[in-house]
Amino acid sequence: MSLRDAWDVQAAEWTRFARDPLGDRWNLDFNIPSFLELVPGPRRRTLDLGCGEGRLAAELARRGHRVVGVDSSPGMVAAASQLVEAAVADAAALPFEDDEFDLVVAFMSLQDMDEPEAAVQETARVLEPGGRFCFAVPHPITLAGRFESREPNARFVIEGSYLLPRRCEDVLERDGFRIHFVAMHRPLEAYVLMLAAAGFLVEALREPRHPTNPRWARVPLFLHVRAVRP
Amino acid sequence: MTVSEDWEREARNWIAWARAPGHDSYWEHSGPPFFGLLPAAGRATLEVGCGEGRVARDLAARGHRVTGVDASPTLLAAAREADPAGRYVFADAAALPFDDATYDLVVAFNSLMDIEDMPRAVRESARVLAPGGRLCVCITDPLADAGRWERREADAPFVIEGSYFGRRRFEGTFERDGLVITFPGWCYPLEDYFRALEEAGLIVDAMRESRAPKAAVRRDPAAERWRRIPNFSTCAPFVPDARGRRGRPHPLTSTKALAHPKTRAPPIRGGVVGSTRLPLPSLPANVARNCNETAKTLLRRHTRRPDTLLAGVRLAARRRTGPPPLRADSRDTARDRSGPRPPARASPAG
Repeated sequence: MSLRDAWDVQAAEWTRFARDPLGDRWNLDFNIPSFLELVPGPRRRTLDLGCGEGRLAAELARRGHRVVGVDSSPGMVAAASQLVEAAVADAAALPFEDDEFDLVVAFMSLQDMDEPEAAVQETARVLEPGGRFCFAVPHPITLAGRFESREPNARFVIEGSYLLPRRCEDVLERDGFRIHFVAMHRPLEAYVLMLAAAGFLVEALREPRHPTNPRWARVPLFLHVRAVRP
Repeated sequence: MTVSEDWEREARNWIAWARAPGHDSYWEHSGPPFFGLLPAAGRATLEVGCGEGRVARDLAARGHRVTGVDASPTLLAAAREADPAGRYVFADAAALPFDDATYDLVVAFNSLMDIEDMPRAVRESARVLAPGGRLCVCITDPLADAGRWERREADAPFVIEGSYFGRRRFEGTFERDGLVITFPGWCYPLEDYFRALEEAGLIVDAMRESRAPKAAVRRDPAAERWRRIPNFSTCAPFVPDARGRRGRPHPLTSTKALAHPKTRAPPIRGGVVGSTRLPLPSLPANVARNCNETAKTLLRRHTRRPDTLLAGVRLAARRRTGPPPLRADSRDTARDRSGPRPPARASPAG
Protein backbone atom coordinates (compact mmCIF):
# COMPACT_ATOMS: atom_id res chain seq x y z
CA MET A 1 0.00 0.00 0.00
CA SER A 2 1.35 3.44 -0.88
CA LEU A 3 2.03 5.87 1.96
CA ARG A 4 -0.78 8.04 0.57
CA ASP A 5 -3.38 5.24 0.82
CA ALA A 6 -2.09 4.10 4.21
CA TRP A 7 -2.94 7.53 5.63
CA ASP A 8 -6.17 8.04 3.70
CA VAL A 9 -7.78 4.90 5.13
CA GLN A 10 -7.30 6.15 8.68
CA ALA A 11 -8.22 9.81 8.12
CA ALA A 12 -11.18 9.65 10.51
CA GLU A 13 -9.25 7.97 13.31
CA TRP A 14 -6.31 10.34 12.78
CA THR A 15 -8.60 13.38 13.01
CA ARG A 16 -10.08 12.09 16.27
CA PHE A 17 -6.56 11.48 17.63
CA ALA A 18 -5.12 14.81 16.48
CA ARG A 19 -8.00 16.85 17.91
CA ASP A 20 -8.27 15.15 21.29
CA PRO A 21 -6.33 16.83 24.10
CA LEU A 22 -5.39 13.34 25.31
CA GLY A 23 -4.34 12.31 21.82
CA ASP A 24 -1.33 13.62 19.98
CA ARG A 25 0.39 15.31 22.93
CA TRP A 26 3.90 15.21 21.41
CA ASN A 27 2.85 17.44 18.57
CA LEU A 28 0.45 19.65 20.49
CA ASP A 29 2.66 20.37 23.48
CA PHE A 30 6.11 20.21 22.00
CA ASN A 31 6.53 19.87 18.25
CA ILE A 32 4.09 22.55 17.06
CA PRO A 33 5.25 25.27 19.49
CA SER A 34 8.93 24.74 18.66
CA PHE A 35 8.22 24.54 14.92
CA LEU A 36 6.35 27.85 15.00
CA GLU A 37 9.49 29.56 16.33
CA LEU A 38 11.09 28.85 12.96
CA VAL A 39 8.15 30.00 10.82
CA PRO A 40 8.19 33.60 9.54
CA GLY A 41 5.21 35.86 10.21
CA PRO A 42 2.31 36.32 7.77
CA ARG A 43 2.84 38.23 4.54
CA ARG A 44 1.05 37.47 1.28
CA ARG A 45 -0.16 33.87 1.26
CA THR A 46 0.81 30.65 3.05
CA LEU A 47 0.53 27.08 1.78
CA ASP A 48 0.33 24.10 4.15
CA LEU A 49 1.64 21.11 2.24
CA GLY A 50 0.22 17.84 3.55
CA CYS A 51 -2.10 19.67 5.92
CA GLY A 52 -3.73 16.50 7.27
CA GLU A 53 -6.72 17.28 9.47
CA GLY A 54 -5.64 20.95 9.49
CA ARG A 55 -4.48 21.82 13.00
CA LEU A 56 -1.27 23.59 11.92
CA ALA A 57 -3.04 25.53 9.17
CA ALA A 58 -5.66 26.58 11.73
CA GLU A 59 -2.94 27.76 14.12
CA LEU A 60 -1.28 29.75 11.31
CA ALA A 61 -4.65 31.30 10.44
CA ARG A 62 -5.05 32.32 14.09
CA ARG A 63 -1.68 34.05 13.74
CA GLY A 64 -2.84 36.07 10.76
CA HIS A 65 -1.67 33.92 7.84
CA ARG A 66 -3.88 33.72 4.76
CA VAL A 67 -3.47 30.00 4.58
CA VAL A 68 -4.61 27.26 2.25
CA GLY A 69 -4.01 23.58 3.01
CA VAL A 70 -3.56 20.76 0.55
CA ASP A 71 -3.51 17.04 1.18
CA SER A 72 -3.79 13.98 -1.04
CA SER A 73 -6.33 12.38 1.28
CA PRO A 74 -9.97 13.39 0.72
CA GLY A 75 -10.81 12.32 4.26
CA MET A 76 -8.14 14.59 5.73
CA VAL A 77 -9.18 17.52 3.54
CA ALA A 78 -12.80 17.09 4.59
CA ALA A 79 -11.68 17.45 8.21
CA ALA A 80 -9.32 20.36 7.50
CA SER A 81 -12.04 22.21 5.59
CA GLN A 82 -13.95 22.55 8.86
CA LEU A 83 -11.10 24.82 10.05
CA VAL A 84 -9.46 26.46 7.02
CA GLU A 85 -9.54 26.60 3.22
CA ALA A 86 -8.25 23.21 2.03
CA ALA A 87 -8.11 21.24 -1.19
CA VAL A 88 -7.36 17.72 -2.33
CA ALA A 89 -4.15 17.88 -4.35
CA ASP A 90 -1.07 15.91 -5.17
CA ALA A 91 1.96 17.61 -3.59
CA ALA A 92 3.96 16.54 -6.63
CA ALA A 93 1.59 18.46 -8.97
CA LEU A 94 0.26 21.48 -7.09
CA PRO A 95 -2.80 23.26 -8.53
CA PHE A 96 -1.26 26.72 -8.12
CA GLU A 97 0.47 29.24 -10.34
CA ASP A 98 4.18 30.00 -10.06
CA ASP A 99 5.20 32.44 -7.29
CA GLU A 100 1.78 32.34 -5.61
CA PHE A 101 3.07 31.99 -2.03
CA ASP A 102 5.69 33.63 0.13
CA LEU A 103 5.62 30.80 2.68
CA VAL A 104 5.15 27.04 2.38
CA VAL A 105 5.07 24.82 5.46
CA ALA A 106 5.18 21.03 5.48
CA PHE A 107 4.56 19.95 9.05
CA MET A 108 5.29 16.24 9.60
CA SER A 109 4.28 15.41 6.05
CA LEU A 110 7.37 14.95 3.85
CA GLN A 111 8.12 11.60 5.47
CA ASP A 112 4.60 10.42 4.55
CA MET A 113 4.85 11.34 0.88
CA ASP A 114 5.59 8.81 -1.85
CA GLU A 115 7.47 11.42 -3.92
CA PRO A 116 8.86 14.09 -1.60
CA GLU A 117 11.50 15.17 -4.15
CA ALA A 118 8.78 16.17 -6.61
CA ALA A 119 6.84 17.88 -3.82
CA VAL A 120 9.87 19.99 -2.91
CA GLN A 121 10.37 20.90 -6.59
CA GLU A 122 6.74 22.01 -6.75
CA THR A 123 7.18 23.96 -3.54
CA ALA A 124 10.03 25.90 -5.13
CA ARG A 125 7.85 26.64 -8.15
CA VAL A 126 4.88 28.05 -6.24
CA LEU A 127 7.13 30.11 -3.93
CA GLU A 128 8.06 33.62 -4.95
CA PRO A 129 11.77 34.52 -4.96
CA GLY A 130 12.82 35.16 -1.37
CA GLY A 131 10.00 32.91 -0.14
CA ARG A 132 10.53 30.49 2.72
CA PHE A 133 9.93 26.75 3.01
CA CYS A 134 9.71 25.42 6.56
CA PHE A 135 9.33 21.74 7.29
CA ALA A 136 9.23 19.38 10.25
CA VAL A 137 9.89 15.64 10.04
CA PRO A 138 10.56 12.90 12.59
CA HIS A 139 14.28 13.15 13.29
CA PRO A 140 16.15 10.67 11.07
CA ILE A 141 17.97 9.31 14.14
CA THR A 142 14.65 8.49 15.77
CA LEU A 143 13.29 6.67 12.74
CA ALA A 144 16.54 4.72 12.39
CA GLY A 145 16.38 3.14 15.86
CA ARG A 146 14.37 2.72 19.06
CA PHE A 147 14.61 2.87 22.84
CA GLU A 148 14.96 -0.54 24.44
CA SER A 149 12.52 0.30 27.22
CA ARG A 150 10.49 3.13 28.73
CA GLU A 151 13.04 3.71 31.49
CA PRO A 152 14.50 7.24 31.63
CA ASN A 153 18.01 5.94 30.95
CA ALA A 154 16.95 3.34 28.37
CA ARG A 155 19.51 2.64 25.68
CA PHE A 156 18.68 3.95 22.20
CA VAL A 157 19.67 1.27 19.70
CA ILE A 158 20.12 1.38 15.92
CA GLU A 159 20.14 -2.22 14.69
CA GLY A 160 19.91 -1.48 10.99
CA SER A 161 21.13 1.41 8.90
CA TYR A 162 20.76 5.14 9.45
CA LEU A 163 22.05 5.88 5.96
CA LEU A 164 19.67 3.67 3.96
CA PRO A 165 16.12 4.91 3.31
CA ARG A 166 13.56 2.47 4.65
CA ARG A 167 9.82 2.22 5.21
CA CYS A 168 8.94 2.34 8.91
CA GLU A 169 5.72 1.15 10.49
CA ASP A 170 4.54 1.45 14.06
CA VAL A 171 1.21 0.99 15.75
CA LEU A 172 0.18 3.29 18.59
CA GLU A 173 -2.58 2.01 20.85
CA ARG A 174 -3.62 3.91 23.93
CA ASP A 175 -6.55 5.76 25.51
CA GLY A 176 -8.87 4.17 22.96
CA PHE A 177 -6.89 5.38 19.94
CA ARG A 178 -5.28 3.18 17.34
CA ILE A 179 -2.98 4.83 14.79
CA HIS A 180 -0.90 2.90 12.30
CA PHE A 181 2.10 5.16 11.63
CA VAL A 182 3.77 4.59 8.27
CA ALA A 183 6.62 6.73 6.99
CA MET A 184 9.85 6.68 5.05
CA HIS A 185 13.06 6.96 6.98
CA ARG A 186 15.65 9.07 5.15
CA PRO A 187 19.00 10.28 6.40
CA LEU A 188 19.40 14.03 6.89
CA GLU A 189 21.53 14.23 3.77
CA ALA A 190 18.55 13.12 1.66
CA TYR A 191 16.47 16.05 2.86
CA VAL A 192 19.27 18.55 2.22
CA LEU A 193 19.75 17.06 -1.25
CA MET A 194 16.04 17.38 -2.04
CA LEU A 195 16.15 21.02 -1.06
CA ALA A 196 19.36 21.68 -2.95
CA ALA A 197 18.06 19.98 -6.10
CA ALA A 198 15.08 22.35 -6.03
CA GLY A 199 17.38 25.35 -5.58
CA PHE A 200 16.64 25.92 -1.88
CA LEU A 201 19.25 27.21 0.54
CA VAL A 202 19.13 26.10 4.19
CA GLU A 203 18.97 29.04 6.59
CA ALA A 204 18.24 27.28 9.84
CA LEU A 205 18.13 23.77 11.26
CA ARG A 206 16.76 22.82 14.67
CA GLU A 207 16.67 19.65 16.73
CA PRO A 208 14.25 20.61 19.50
CA ARG A 209 15.05 18.94 22.80
CA HIS A 210 12.12 17.79 24.87
CA PRO A 211 12.01 19.86 28.07
CA THR A 212 10.70 17.20 30.44
CA ASN A 213 10.65 13.70 28.98
CA PRO A 214 13.89 12.08 30.15
CA ARG A 215 14.35 9.85 27.09
CA TRP A 216 13.53 12.48 24.48
CA ALA A 217 15.75 14.97 26.24
CA ARG A 218 18.60 12.61 25.26
CA VAL A 219 17.69 11.72 21.65
CA PRO A 220 16.20 14.16 19.10
CA LEU A 221 12.57 13.39 18.25
CA PHE A 222 11.97 15.99 15.52
CA LEU A 223 13.94 17.86 12.89
CA HIS A 224 12.97 21.38 11.77
CA VAL A 225 14.42 23.17 8.76
CA ARG A 226 13.87 26.59 7.22
CA ALA A 227 15.06 27.14 3.65
CA VAL A 228 14.88 30.10 1.33
CA ARG A 229 14.18 30.15 -2.39
CA PRO A 230 16.78 32.55 -3.78
CA MET B 1 42.95 21.78 30.50
CA THR B 2 41.79 23.20 27.18
CA VAL B 3 41.44 21.05 24.09
CA SER B 4 44.32 22.97 22.51
CA GLU B 5 46.60 22.10 25.37
CA ASP B 6 45.55 18.48 25.01
CA TRP B 7 46.44 18.61 21.32
CA GLU B 8 49.81 20.08 22.08
CA ARG B 9 50.35 17.15 24.45
CA GLU B 10 49.25 14.67 21.76
CA ALA B 11 51.15 16.42 18.95
CA ARG B 12 53.89 13.79 18.51
CA ASN B 13 51.34 10.96 18.44
CA TRP B 14 49.20 12.85 15.95
CA ILE B 15 52.09 13.58 13.60
CA ALA B 16 52.96 9.89 13.47
CA TRP B 17 49.28 8.91 13.12
CA ALA B 18 48.50 11.43 10.39
CA ARG B 19 51.60 10.78 8.33
CA ALA B 20 51.54 6.98 8.16
CA PRO B 21 50.15 6.45 4.62
CA GLY B 22 46.74 4.79 4.61
CA HIS B 23 46.70 4.65 8.41
CA ASP B 24 43.52 6.57 9.19
CA SER B 25 40.25 7.39 7.46
CA TYR B 26 41.60 10.56 5.83
CA TRP B 27 43.16 8.64 2.98
CA GLU B 28 40.03 7.15 1.48
CA HIS B 29 37.01 7.73 3.73
CA SER B 30 36.88 11.30 5.01
CA GLY B 31 39.40 13.00 2.72
CA PRO B 32 38.23 12.27 -0.85
CA PRO B 33 34.55 13.26 -0.36
CA PHE B 34 35.68 16.41 1.40
CA PHE B 35 37.93 17.43 -1.45
CA GLY B 36 35.00 16.70 -3.77
CA LEU B 37 33.01 19.35 -1.88
CA LEU B 38 35.60 22.10 -2.32
CA PRO B 39 35.28 24.76 -4.97
CA ALA B 40 38.18 25.24 -7.38
CA ALA B 41 41.19 27.08 -6.04
CA GLY B 42 40.63 30.81 -5.95
CA ARG B 43 42.51 33.83 -4.70
CA ALA B 44 43.34 32.63 -1.20
CA THR B 45 42.43 29.65 0.97
CA LEU B 46 42.59 29.56 4.76
CA GLU B 47 42.76 26.32 6.70
CA VAL B 48 41.56 26.62 10.28
CA GLY B 49 43.16 24.03 12.55
CA CYS B 50 45.75 22.86 10.05
CA GLY B 51 47.61 20.65 12.53
CA GLU B 52 50.69 19.01 11.06
CA GLY B 53 49.55 20.21 7.64
CA ARG B 54 48.50 17.26 5.51
CA VAL B 55 45.28 18.91 4.34
CA ALA B 56 47.10 22.17 3.58
CA ARG B 57 49.69 20.26 1.55
CA ASP B 58 46.97 18.42 -0.38
CA LEU B 59 45.17 21.72 -0.99
CA ALA B 60 48.38 23.26 -2.29
CA ALA B 61 48.81 20.27 -4.60
CA ARG B 62 45.41 21.17 -6.07
CA GLY B 63 46.53 24.72 -6.72
CA HIS B 64 45.19 26.45 -3.60
CA ARG B 65 47.22 29.30 -2.13
CA VAL B 66 46.93 28.15 1.46
CA THR B 67 47.47 29.78 4.81
CA GLY B 68 47.22 27.34 7.71
CA VAL B 69 46.51 28.41 11.27
CA ASP B 70 46.76 26.31 14.39
CA ALA B 71 47.22 26.81 18.11
CA SER B 72 49.64 23.95 18.68
CA PRO B 73 53.27 25.09 18.29
CA THR B 74 54.55 21.55 17.84
CA LEU B 75 52.06 20.76 15.08
CA LEU B 76 52.80 24.07 13.35
CA ALA B 77 56.50 23.40 13.51
CA ALA B 78 55.91 20.01 11.91
CA ALA B 79 53.74 21.59 9.20
CA ARG B 80 56.48 24.09 8.35
CA GLU B 81 59.13 21.45 8.37
CA ALA B 82 57.19 19.34 5.88
CA ASP B 83 56.36 22.31 3.69
CA PRO B 84 58.95 25.09 4.09
CA ALA B 85 57.40 27.14 1.29
CA GLY B 86 53.95 27.09 2.89
CA ARG B 87 52.53 29.73 5.20
CA TYR B 88 51.60 28.48 8.68
CA VAL B 89 50.53 30.93 11.34
CA PHE B 90 50.14 30.49 15.08
CA ALA B 91 46.68 31.85 15.87
CA ASP B 92 43.48 31.30 17.75
CA ALA B 93 40.72 30.23 15.36
CA ALA B 94 38.34 32.35 17.42
CA ALA B 95 40.45 35.49 16.82
CA LEU B 96 41.95 35.22 13.34
CA PRO B 97 44.72 37.71 12.61
CA PHE B 98 43.35 38.62 9.16
CA ASP B 99 41.28 41.47 7.77
CA ASP B 100 37.63 41.07 6.79
CA ALA B 101 36.77 39.51 3.43
CA THR B 102 40.31 38.47 2.54
CA TYR B 103 39.74 34.79 1.66
CA ASP B 104 37.41 33.14 -0.82
CA LEU B 105 37.63 29.72 0.83
CA VAL B 106 38.00 28.70 4.45
CA VAL B 107 38.56 25.02 5.19
CA ALA B 108 37.93 23.45 8.59
CA PHE B 109 38.69 19.76 8.26
CA ASN B 110 37.81 17.88 11.45
CA SER B 111 38.87 20.85 13.52
CA LEU B 112 35.67 22.59 14.68
CA MET B 113 35.22 19.92 17.37
CA ASP B 114 38.62 20.78 18.75
CA ILE B 115 38.32 24.52 19.21
CA GLU B 116 37.24 25.83 22.61
CA ASP B 117 34.86 28.43 21.18
CA MET B 118 33.39 26.77 18.09
CA PRO B 119 30.70 29.39 17.36
CA ARG B 120 33.28 32.17 17.52
CA ALA B 121 35.61 30.28 15.20
CA VAL B 122 32.73 29.95 12.71
CA ARG B 123 31.99 33.67 13.05
CA GLU B 124 35.64 34.50 12.47
CA SER B 125 35.75 32.25 9.41
CA ALA B 126 32.70 34.05 8.01
CA ARG B 127 34.32 37.41 8.76
CA VAL B 128 37.47 36.73 6.78
CA LEU B 129 35.45 35.29 3.85
CA ALA B 130 34.60 37.54 0.92
CA PRO B 131 30.94 37.65 -0.19
CA GLY B 132 30.18 34.48 -2.10
CA GLY B 133 33.07 32.71 -0.37
CA ARG B 134 32.64 29.29 1.17
CA LEU B 135 33.44 27.70 4.51
CA CYS B 136 33.98 24.00 3.78
CA VAL B 137 33.63 21.94 6.90
CA CYS B 138 34.14 18.31 7.82
CA ILE B 139 33.16 17.23 11.34
CA THR B 140 32.90 13.90 13.06
CA ASP B 141 29.21 13.14 12.71
CA PRO B 142 27.15 14.16 15.75
CA LEU B 143 25.33 10.81 15.72
CA ALA B 144 28.63 8.89 15.67
CA ASP B 145 29.86 11.06 18.55
CA ALA B 146 26.73 10.38 20.62
CA GLY B 147 27.02 6.61 20.77
CA ARG B 148 29.23 3.60 20.22
CA TRP B 149 29.25 0.22 18.52
CA GLU B 150 28.35 -2.61 20.83
CA ARG B 151 30.66 -4.99 19.01
CA ARG B 152 33.17 -5.00 16.18
CA GLU B 153 31.07 -7.11 13.78
CA ALA B 154 29.49 -5.59 10.65
CA ASP B 155 25.94 -6.03 12.04
CA ALA B 156 26.72 -4.74 15.54
CA PRO B 157 24.06 -2.51 17.10
CA PHE B 158 24.91 1.17 17.47
CA VAL B 159 23.94 2.33 20.97
CA ILE B 160 23.32 5.75 22.53
CA GLU B 161 23.56 5.38 26.31
CA GLY B 162 24.06 9.00 27.25
CA SER B 163 22.75 12.05 25.44
CA TYR B 164 22.95 13.34 21.89
CA PHE B 165 22.29 16.84 23.18
CA GLY B 166 24.53 19.40 24.83
CA ARG B 167 28.20 20.24 24.55
CA ARG B 168 30.12 17.21 25.80
CA ARG B 169 33.83 16.62 26.16
CA PHE B 170 35.21 13.83 23.97
CA GLU B 171 38.29 11.82 24.75
CA GLY B 172 38.98 8.51 23.05
CA THR B 173 42.20 6.53 22.90
CA PHE B 174 42.87 4.45 19.80
CA GLU B 175 45.60 1.99 18.97
CA ARG B 176 46.29 0.73 15.46
CA ASP B 177 49.35 -0.88 13.89
CA GLY B 178 51.57 0.08 16.78
CA LEU B 179 50.49 3.73 16.89
CA VAL B 180 48.48 5.15 19.78
CA ILE B 181 46.60 8.41 20.04
CA THR B 182 44.13 10.07 22.37
CA PHE B 183 41.75 12.36 20.51
CA PRO B 184 40.61 15.25 22.66
CA GLY B 185 37.70 17.42 21.57
CA TRP B 186 34.09 18.43 22.02
CA CYS B 187 30.86 16.82 20.83
CA TYR B 188 27.86 18.88 19.78
CA PRO B 189 24.43 18.09 18.36
CA LEU B 190 24.10 19.07 14.71
CA GLU B 191 21.89 22.01 15.65
CA ASP B 192 24.79 23.67 17.47
CA TYR B 193 26.85 23.72 14.28
CA PHE B 194 23.91 24.99 12.24
CA ARG B 195 23.15 27.70 14.80
CA ALA B 196 26.78 28.81 14.62
CA LEU B 197 26.53 28.98 10.81
CA GLU B 198 23.22 30.83 11.02
CA GLU B 199 24.54 33.35 13.52
CA ALA B 200 27.58 33.92 11.31
CA GLY B 201 25.29 34.66 8.35
CA LEU B 202 26.28 31.52 6.46
CA ILE B 203 23.81 29.59 4.30
CA VAL B 204 23.97 25.89 3.44
CA ASP B 205 23.33 24.48 -0.01
CA ALA B 206 25.39 21.30 0.10
CA MET B 207 25.87 18.65 2.74
CA ARG B 208 26.96 15.03 2.82
CA GLU B 209 27.04 12.22 5.38
CA SER B 210 29.96 9.86 4.89
CA ARG B 211 29.94 6.18 3.97
CA ALA B 212 32.99 3.99 4.34
CA PRO B 213 34.28 3.04 0.88
CA LYS B 214 33.64 -0.51 -0.30
CA ALA B 215 37.39 -1.10 -0.56
CA ALA B 216 37.63 -0.60 3.20
CA VAL B 217 34.94 -3.25 3.75
CA ARG B 218 36.78 -5.71 1.51
CA ARG B 219 39.86 -5.30 3.68
CA ASP B 220 37.96 -5.35 6.97
CA PRO B 221 34.30 -6.44 7.10
CA ALA B 222 33.83 -4.43 10.32
CA ALA B 223 34.11 -1.26 8.23
CA GLU B 224 30.58 -2.10 7.01
CA ARG B 225 29.37 -0.49 10.25
CA TRP B 226 30.40 2.90 8.85
CA ARG B 227 28.20 2.30 5.83
CA ARG B 228 25.24 2.17 8.27
CA ILE B 229 26.12 5.15 10.48
CA PRO B 230 28.02 8.15 9.07
CA ASN B 231 31.44 8.69 10.63
CA PHE B 232 31.75 12.21 9.19
CA SER B 233 29.54 14.99 7.92
CA THR B 234 30.66 17.54 5.40
CA CYS B 235 29.02 20.81 4.58
CA ALA B 236 29.85 23.80 2.36
CA PRO B 237 28.01 26.90 3.56
CA PHE B 238 28.66 30.22 1.85
CA VAL B 239 28.50 33.91 2.59
CA PRO B 240 25.60 35.41 0.63
CA ASP B 241 26.30 38.53 -1.39
CA ALA B 242 24.63 41.88 -0.72
CA ARG B 243 21.39 40.67 -2.32
CA GLY B 244 21.35 37.57 -0.15
CA ARG B 245 22.30 35.32 -3.02
CA ARG B 246 25.13 33.05 -3.90
CA GLY B 247 27.31 33.17 -6.94
CA ARG B 248 27.46 29.88 -8.76
CA PRO B 249 25.42 27.03 -7.24
CA HIS B 250 27.50 24.36 -5.62
CA PRO B 251 28.05 21.51 -8.11
CA LEU B 252 26.72 19.03 -5.58
CA THR B 253 23.32 20.72 -5.58
CA SER B 254 22.49 19.59 -9.11
CA THR B 255 19.91 16.89 -9.67
CA LYS B 256 22.70 14.82 -11.13
CA ALA B 257 24.33 14.84 -7.71
CA LEU B 258 21.03 13.67 -6.27
CA ALA B 259 21.01 10.64 -8.54
CA HIS B 260 24.64 9.85 -7.79
CA PRO B 261 25.24 10.85 -4.21
CA LYS B 262 28.77 9.55 -4.17
CA THR B 263 31.16 12.22 -5.27
CA ARG B 264 34.18 11.28 -7.20
CA ALA B 265 37.20 13.24 -6.19
CA PRO B 266 40.71 12.91 -7.49
CA PRO B 267 42.81 10.74 -5.22
CA ILE B 268 44.67 12.49 -2.47
CA ARG B 269 48.38 12.37 -2.65
CA GLY B 270 50.18 11.67 0.54
CA GLY B 271 53.36 13.16 1.87
CA VAL B 272 54.94 16.34 0.69
CA VAL B 273 53.52 17.90 -2.42
CA GLY B 274 55.10 18.67 -5.74
CA SER B 275 56.30 21.97 -7.07
CA THR B 276 53.26 23.20 -8.99
CA ARG B 277 52.13 25.73 -6.43
CA LEU B 278 52.11 29.47 -6.74
CA PRO B 279 54.42 31.39 -4.45
CA LEU B 280 52.66 32.64 -1.34
CA PRO B 281 53.27 36.07 0.05
CA SER B 282 55.11 36.19 3.32
CA LEU B 283 54.01 37.63 6.60
CA PRO B 284 55.24 41.07 7.55
CA ALA B 285 58.57 40.57 9.29
CA ASN B 286 57.43 41.86 12.69
CA VAL B 287 54.42 39.56 12.72
CA ALA B 288 56.49 36.60 11.63
CA ARG B 289 58.94 37.22 14.42
CA ASN B 290 56.15 37.54 16.89
CA CYS B 291 54.46 34.34 15.82
CA ASN B 292 57.69 32.48 16.19
CA GLU B 293 58.37 33.99 19.58
CA THR B 294 54.93 32.95 20.76
CA ALA B 295 55.44 29.49 19.41
CA LYS B 296 58.79 29.20 21.14
CA THR B 297 57.36 30.26 24.47
CA LEU B 298 54.60 27.70 24.27
CA LEU B 299 56.89 25.06 23.00
CA ARG B 300 59.22 25.45 25.95
CA ARG B 301 56.34 24.74 28.20
CA HIS B 302 55.55 21.47 26.46
CA THR B 303 58.81 19.94 25.35
CA ARG B 304 62.33 19.53 26.53
CA ARG B 305 63.98 20.19 23.21
CA PRO B 306 62.35 23.20 21.65
CA ASP B 307 65.35 24.09 19.56
CA THR B 308 65.40 20.83 17.66
CA LEU B 309 61.71 21.12 16.94
CA LEU B 310 61.98 24.69 15.90
CA ALA B 311 64.70 23.92 13.41
CA GLY B 312 61.98 23.56 10.81
CA VAL B 313 60.22 26.78 11.76
CA ARG B 314 60.89 29.30 9.08
CA LEU B 315 58.83 32.08 7.76
CA ALA B 316 60.29 33.02 4.43
CA ALA B 317 60.53 36.71 3.77
CA ARG B 318 59.15 37.13 0.28
CA ARG B 319 57.26 39.90 -1.38
CA ARG B 320 53.57 40.07 -0.76
CA THR B 321 51.64 39.61 -3.99
CA GLY B 322 47.99 39.33 -3.04
CA PRO B 323 46.84 36.85 -0.43
CA PRO B 324 45.82 38.18 2.92
CA PRO B 325 48.42 39.74 5.15
CA LEU B 326 48.14 39.41 8.88
CA ARG B 327 46.52 42.30 10.58
CA ALA B 328 48.85 44.95 11.90
CA ASP B 329 47.32 44.65 15.36
CA SER B 330 47.83 40.91 15.48
CA ARG B 331 51.26 41.55 16.95
CA ASP B 332 49.80 42.39 20.32
CA THR B 333 47.18 39.73 20.01
CA ALA B 334 49.83 37.13 19.43
CA ARG B 335 51.75 38.25 22.46
CA ASP B 336 48.66 38.19 24.65
CA ARG B 337 48.00 34.68 23.51
CA SER B 338 51.35 33.43 24.64
CA GLY B 339 49.57 33.35 27.98
CA PRO B 340 47.55 30.48 29.28
CA ARG B 341 45.47 29.18 26.38
CA PRO B 342 45.87 28.73 22.66
CA PRO B 343 42.47 27.51 21.49
CA ALA B 344 42.69 26.30 17.89
CA ARG B 345 44.07 22.93 17.01
CA ALA B 346 44.87 20.40 14.39
CA SER B 347 42.89 18.00 12.29
CA PRO B 348 42.39 14.78 14.24
CA ALA B 349 39.80 12.10 13.78
CA GLY B 350 41.23 9.19 11.98
